[in-house]
Amino acid sequence: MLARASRTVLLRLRWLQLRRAFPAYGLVLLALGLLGLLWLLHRAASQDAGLLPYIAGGAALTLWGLHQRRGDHAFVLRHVAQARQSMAVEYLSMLSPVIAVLLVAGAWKWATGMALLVLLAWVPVVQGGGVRGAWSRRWIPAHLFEWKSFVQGTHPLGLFLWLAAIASCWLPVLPLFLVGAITMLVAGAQEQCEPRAMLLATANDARALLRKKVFGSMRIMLIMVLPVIFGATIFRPEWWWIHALFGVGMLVLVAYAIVLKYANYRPNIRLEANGANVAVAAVFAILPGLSLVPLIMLLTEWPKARANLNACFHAHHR
Amino acid sequence: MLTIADLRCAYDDKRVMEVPDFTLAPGVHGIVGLNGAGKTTLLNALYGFGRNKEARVLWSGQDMSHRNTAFQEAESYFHPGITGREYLDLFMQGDRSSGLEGLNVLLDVPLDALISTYSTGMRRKLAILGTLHLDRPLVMLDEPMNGLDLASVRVVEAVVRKLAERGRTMIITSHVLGPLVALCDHIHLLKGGRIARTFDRGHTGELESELFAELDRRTQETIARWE
Repeated sequence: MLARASRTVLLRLRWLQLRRAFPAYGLVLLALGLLGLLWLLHRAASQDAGLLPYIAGGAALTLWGLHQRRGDHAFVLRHVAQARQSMAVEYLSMLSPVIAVLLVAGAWKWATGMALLVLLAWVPVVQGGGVRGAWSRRWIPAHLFEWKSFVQGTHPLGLFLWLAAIASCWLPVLPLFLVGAITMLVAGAQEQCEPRAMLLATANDARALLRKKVFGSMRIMLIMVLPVIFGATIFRPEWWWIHALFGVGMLVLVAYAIVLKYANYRPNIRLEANGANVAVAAVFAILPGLSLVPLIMLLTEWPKARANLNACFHAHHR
Repeated sequence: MLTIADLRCAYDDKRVMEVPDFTLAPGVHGIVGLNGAGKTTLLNALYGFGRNKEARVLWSGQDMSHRNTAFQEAESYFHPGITGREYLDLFMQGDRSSGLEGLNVLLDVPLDALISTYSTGMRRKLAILGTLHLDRPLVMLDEPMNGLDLASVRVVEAVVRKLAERGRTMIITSHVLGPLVALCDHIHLLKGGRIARTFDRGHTGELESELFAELDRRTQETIARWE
């Protein structure tokens, strides 16, 4: 017997996933966070009508990105009855907070435009099987395959963010914010543990591996961070020390993400919990007085990483 | 020459592997046994994983390690978001004079595509290429023929023979006897975590008789219980 087709099937699936992912208090916190976001959007929209296009545009771009990158697109089309209508209902539920804010602010035209975005469900998805950023990944050394994976996962967004950071050097905080966003993406790419064969092919011992990974990544980070820092300092020379500390903080953050990965290394596993530690380190890295904290965190993890890797490199000596 | 002494493995205090004293000369060595006989456990233990502290596994008189050994595990895993060529580049950082690059052409692996788009057989071929590109004197391949098409099996067999002729020691496990009979200089029969017998090339008829006799006995016993 076939189950009765329902347009809310994807919505119910998301609710099920949320319930499995979070305990009850997590759902309450999530709801509170959503309410807080709505309040912020409402305040922004009611105080300055000039912000409405940015709110609507941001929501539209986010939904476009989600639609183009959704991993289950082919599966949904194949296995869900009324697949496109179900996706449209899902998109409408995601847009509804923004639509509500726009309606309360009296921006009927923008709200209508937002509602029409549910038609994205009928827009074809670009197949993502191709190699992204082929030119840039050719310059990345073979042992920094995490960076190649990073390019594959973020291109062209990462390149766009970097160019935007350089282009906005005349503004006070934005270029640093964009570099920070790229750094967090780079740190996120360090969560995936490589298979044992790739680990052992990278270096002959734990010390050499850590040095290769950390110093190799530092070189790429310097190429990425230095132009922005120099550019920003040219426009605001009196902030040179803030820019310098921020740049060093970003380098330390990536080094910490790498060392943290190897401190907890298990073949083929994605260490998602590392993201929380890196986020804590990031908060300290951007606070000028506390930027030593990530460095201490890095130095604390280094011996753990060496010990953990030694177990892989010299398993026969255990 | 690979020398093994006092090698043991245990899971939850249950001993699953024991090799008191064993020596492997250069050439192609096959390890056969039924599922659960301990083939993968043996290779893992030789490579250093999960074995007892007292074990001695020596390669030419020195401790065996990943510096003189290439090991391809039965399951092929790869870092996400990289291409086959990028994967192989990692394994070819040293000497490129081995001439193994030409193998890519024979095995027909689409090296410039993302590994995530590969079929099971392609992934296996890429893993084998990576292992061989390391160009180590001792090569251990765990069930290398799984998932390979007939043409690729022939290529891998030819390469294994060629490497053995160049003085490498090749250890290959398989739960299927056929490919090993033609390929190996010595086949070691593994039973209950022990190397029960070794058969040299030209004497594999005895191995087939012994293995199939046991299989027949087991099958008869099972069917008798079922009835």
